[in-house]
Amino acid sequence: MQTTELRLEVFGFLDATSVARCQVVCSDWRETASESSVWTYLCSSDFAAARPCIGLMRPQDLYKSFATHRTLADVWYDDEPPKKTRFRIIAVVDGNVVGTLKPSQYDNKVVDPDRYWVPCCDSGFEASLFDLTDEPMAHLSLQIWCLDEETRNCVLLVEDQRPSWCTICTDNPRMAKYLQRGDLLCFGHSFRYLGAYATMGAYDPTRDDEGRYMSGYMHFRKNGDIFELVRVQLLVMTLNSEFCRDQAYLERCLWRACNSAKPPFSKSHLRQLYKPHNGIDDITASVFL
Amino acid sequence: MSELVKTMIPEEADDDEEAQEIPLPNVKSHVLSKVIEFCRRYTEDPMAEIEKPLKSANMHEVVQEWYAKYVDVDQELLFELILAANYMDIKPLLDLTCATVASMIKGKTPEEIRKTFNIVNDFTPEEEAQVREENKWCEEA
Repeated sequence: MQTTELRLEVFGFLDATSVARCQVVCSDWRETASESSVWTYLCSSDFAAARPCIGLMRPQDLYKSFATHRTLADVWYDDEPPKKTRFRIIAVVDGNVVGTLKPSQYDNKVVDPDRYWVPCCDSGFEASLFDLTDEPMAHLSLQIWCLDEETRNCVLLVEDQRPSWCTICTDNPRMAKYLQRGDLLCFGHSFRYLGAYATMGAYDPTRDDEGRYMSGYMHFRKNGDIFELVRVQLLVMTLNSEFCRDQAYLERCLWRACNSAKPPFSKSHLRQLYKPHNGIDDITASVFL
Repeated sequence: MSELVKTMIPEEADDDEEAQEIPLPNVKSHVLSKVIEFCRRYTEDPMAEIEKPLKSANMHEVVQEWYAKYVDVDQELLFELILAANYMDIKPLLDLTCATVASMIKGKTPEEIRKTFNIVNDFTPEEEAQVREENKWCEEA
């Protein structure tokens, strides 16, 4: 192992702010620290799941975008309007492509650009997932990829890893009938639930009078001394744009998530950040080639 | 515990055989003693896994007391231990020593880090301005 690799070992124990400061120490450290940049940490943690498409941008550009817009939507759509349709969302379940969300489908989605980005919530997309199995509550190994059709770069957005804090993963029987607002769901189950009910459109134990569905969303916020990307796998969201704009409600959701005793939202977890995936990973290559 | 040593011991060797000499030319004797001290302790009371990123710059809040005291050594010995742990392929010791170095970095400004490790700033003023700009976000809090 070379000195650089040992240095990487050391940086691997540092939070994002410290790693960023290391880049300023000297040129050697800059080089190493940039490899061990802020995006490393979420990936190394058990609950790491959501990764934004930051592989398409240099970290410093991403930060600029955070600072300017503070929204993932704008990171995605940082280019001129015509280019924003170049991304394709692809769902991979147990290693198989099960659905794609074409640009035209999500470009029309109403999101509040100042607050958050709603991951691909197209009913057709989730329907593909739902059709995979007869067992509605079965856990699936789910990955959501973003393919940049121009560059052919592919970035893993979401990887469901069966976290211990997901209500369905850990408490399957209860979940079936008694899912409550405030329960936390992993991305896989968020998508599953949303998909299931969007498709069936019938009995939904989680839907309230205002027609809210289960989903997850991402949220940026400046917390303490660092911009953090907080994956908030929670609660009842809806496809209703008016509800999405209910920021007071979202604040309460976020507050609840951040103050929850459940593991993913401890302060140390909130400090974890993301890692870029440049180029096409092996699994993606097998999917697209 | 050492993967290197493991590979040096023939599989068919049994306990009754005469003691074997295992050359470790890259590890000084006083460092090796320290490594063995770690291994002995580890077999009796395994070190808790170190959380990433470090939750504290104080190693006493990161690992058990014995291990925190174990790495409370001068920088020279600490780096020798890192090299030994790396060479001998002892993952828990490598983690402990690297985490200790990380704890010496955590929370410090770049200037303080340079001072701590006696590092010369080799950036030109322009380069330094650029790298600071790129990492400005971490100082904005």
